[in-house]
Amino acid sequence: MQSSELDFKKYRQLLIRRKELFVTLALLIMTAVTIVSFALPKIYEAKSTVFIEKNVISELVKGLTVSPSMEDTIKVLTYAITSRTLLAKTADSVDMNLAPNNNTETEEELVKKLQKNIVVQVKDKNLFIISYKDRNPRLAQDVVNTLVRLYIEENTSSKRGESYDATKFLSEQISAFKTKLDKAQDEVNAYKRAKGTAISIDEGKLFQDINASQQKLIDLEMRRRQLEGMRQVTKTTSDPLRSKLSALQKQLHELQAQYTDSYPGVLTVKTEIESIKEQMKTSGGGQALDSNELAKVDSEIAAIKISEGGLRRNIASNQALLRNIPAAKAELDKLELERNNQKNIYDQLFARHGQSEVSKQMEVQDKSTTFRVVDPAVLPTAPISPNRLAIMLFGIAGGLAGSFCVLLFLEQMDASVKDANFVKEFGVPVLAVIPHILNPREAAMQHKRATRLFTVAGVYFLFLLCFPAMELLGLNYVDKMITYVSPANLVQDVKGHLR
Amino acid sequence: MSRIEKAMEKAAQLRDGVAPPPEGHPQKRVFRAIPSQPPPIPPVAHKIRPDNPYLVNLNDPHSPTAEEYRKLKSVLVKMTKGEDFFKNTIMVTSAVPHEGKTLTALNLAISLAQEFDHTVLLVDADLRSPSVQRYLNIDSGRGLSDVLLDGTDIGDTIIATGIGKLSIIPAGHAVSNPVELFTSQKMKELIEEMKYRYPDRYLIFDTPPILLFAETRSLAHQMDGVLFVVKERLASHENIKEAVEALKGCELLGMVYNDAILDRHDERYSYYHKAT
Repeated sequence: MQSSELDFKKYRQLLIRRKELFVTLALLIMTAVTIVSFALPKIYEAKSTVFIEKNVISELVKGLTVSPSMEDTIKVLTYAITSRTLLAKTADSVDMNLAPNNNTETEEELVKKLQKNIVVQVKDKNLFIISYKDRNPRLAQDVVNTLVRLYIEENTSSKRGESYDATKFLSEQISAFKTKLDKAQDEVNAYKRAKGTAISIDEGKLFQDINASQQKLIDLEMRRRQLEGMRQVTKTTSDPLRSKLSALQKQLHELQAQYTDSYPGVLTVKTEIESIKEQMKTSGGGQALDSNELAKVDSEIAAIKISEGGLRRNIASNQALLRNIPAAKAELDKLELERNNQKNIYDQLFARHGQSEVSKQMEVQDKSTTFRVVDPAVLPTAPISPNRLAIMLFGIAGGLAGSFCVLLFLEQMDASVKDANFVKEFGVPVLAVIPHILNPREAAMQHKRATRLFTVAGVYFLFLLCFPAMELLGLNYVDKMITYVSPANLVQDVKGHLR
Repeated sequence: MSRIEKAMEKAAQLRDGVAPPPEGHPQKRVFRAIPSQPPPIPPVAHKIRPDNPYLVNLNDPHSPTAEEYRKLKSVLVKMTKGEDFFKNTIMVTSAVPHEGKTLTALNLAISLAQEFDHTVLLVDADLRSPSVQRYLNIDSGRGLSDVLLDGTDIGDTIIATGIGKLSIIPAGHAVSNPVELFTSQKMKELIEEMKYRYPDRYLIFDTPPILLFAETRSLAHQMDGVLFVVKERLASHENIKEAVEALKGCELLGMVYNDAILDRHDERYSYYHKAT
């Protein structure tokens, strides 16, 4: 508090003591800033607003058509607009590269300059403001408009080209797949023709058939055995001894099961069997079979055997057929699958082709997303930079501050004795401190001088204030004056007069 | 014989160069040897009325500045008037020009002269830029340089101002070689003569700044005391340091801090404002 008050007093003293320097310096700084504000090149900004709109039709035919994604378009717009090619084209078409005093600028530099000065702002996702700053207002306007026009043209044509390309590609693919599909179909047909039986026969039925045949075969075999047995039987039943022997042998077996060999019953039977065997030997086995009957049986057996052979062959062929069916079917399936795949792709391609056709038509007729220039760039009348008013006001403040800083600096640099305490360190007693003598005449003169200075300074300050005021009111007398007296114009004038 | 007659006689002797000051005597002895008598007051040709506002002790004796000079005077009197000797030659100098030497010398001289006890002779030893005359509105051709160069009688150059008992010796005609003049034997003799002529007379020398000119330094060694004037915001710290060092070996009485911008609200000084 104490020190700040002291500081304040010190600064006030400083200002009072060097008021003339302060005022002069401040005015000098203000003047310099004002001059600079007028000398700074004027930069104009042209702006164009572009709206990317989605057409109603595109909403209607959603799903039917394939339009280039708007998000993508927006995403790359900034880059696309500042792309080298587009800028070079723009520069070319507004004749920037032919402009006077531009000989040293290569195209590279020109493009860089354009890139630097172009600003693309995105607003509400599909509203774009493209602005360009240049010293020449007309050029600024031209650049923006040309740039927007070229971009839209390029974008439209590229979208069209894309659609054309897509359609063309699809039709190429369709024809290619058509041949493939046809070939697959042919293969399927040929195979079917070749393996028709194997494919068309029902497996279950064939199986049943085989089963039935086998059953039949078994029946036939049984019949044959029977007949063969009957033949034997026909042979034996005509001999009573044999039947008696077999009965006796049967009886013996029964007895032996119950009794020992020495059992009288067993012995009896044994002897009886012996005796019969004796009898049979003596009789000499006389064949007393009915020959007619036998022939009949034999022929029947032969017929059955032939029938059996037929059945067996039938079964074998059927079984072979059955074994072949899965392979044939698998092969067919394979062929059919291939064909189906081709067909699937073909169908899809065909559907897409239809969409692309519509898309193409939409692009051709400009019915999809369109760039609408909401606000074409107009000739900028007022420069955006330099902001003279701000610069001048800043200059006024800066003049005061700067001047004060200079005073402080001078004060800092001033190594002279500043107060009585200062000289005490020399070890010499300070005998008296003589205050500043106020000479009324000199004081009056100084006062007069200060008054004069302040009057002049005040008037000059008011004069300086005129410039920001003019700027505020939008009067451009100074500019007119500058253009009138600018060296280039003078040279032109002189040249004109010489001619 | 009245004292005045004696003085006149002395002056006449001086003019004839009969009575040179006793040389080489230590001051103490000399002081005692000379009887206490007032210096001759040269006839006042016309009473000068300097109206320079900076001569505060003359024109504005009640101002705080005049009071400061009076304070300076009393301090100085205390310092120079010992019990057994009187350091009566005082030189006023500064480090650089325009620090207010002449005004300090003048105001101090006036202040001293206004007292009844002292006669004062102010010598303008600043041959390079003499300004005492200017402040006092005196127009005189002859002065110190003439005494040294042409042997003009010193009595002829003394001008009574009519301000108390203040007389002055102006610088005289401009010379090209003040250094040679001041380092000459004649200068030494002259100072000795003036110094011992009247015991209660103060001799105040206004000199050129010490840093710039050599004569001040040689003069300083012949003085009883040196008053060093420092003006606010003029000489740098370095300048003053250098000047003080240059004065080493001399009787540096003290500093007069001149032209101070004082805070008017400072209590120390408000008293004076009330008083005046």
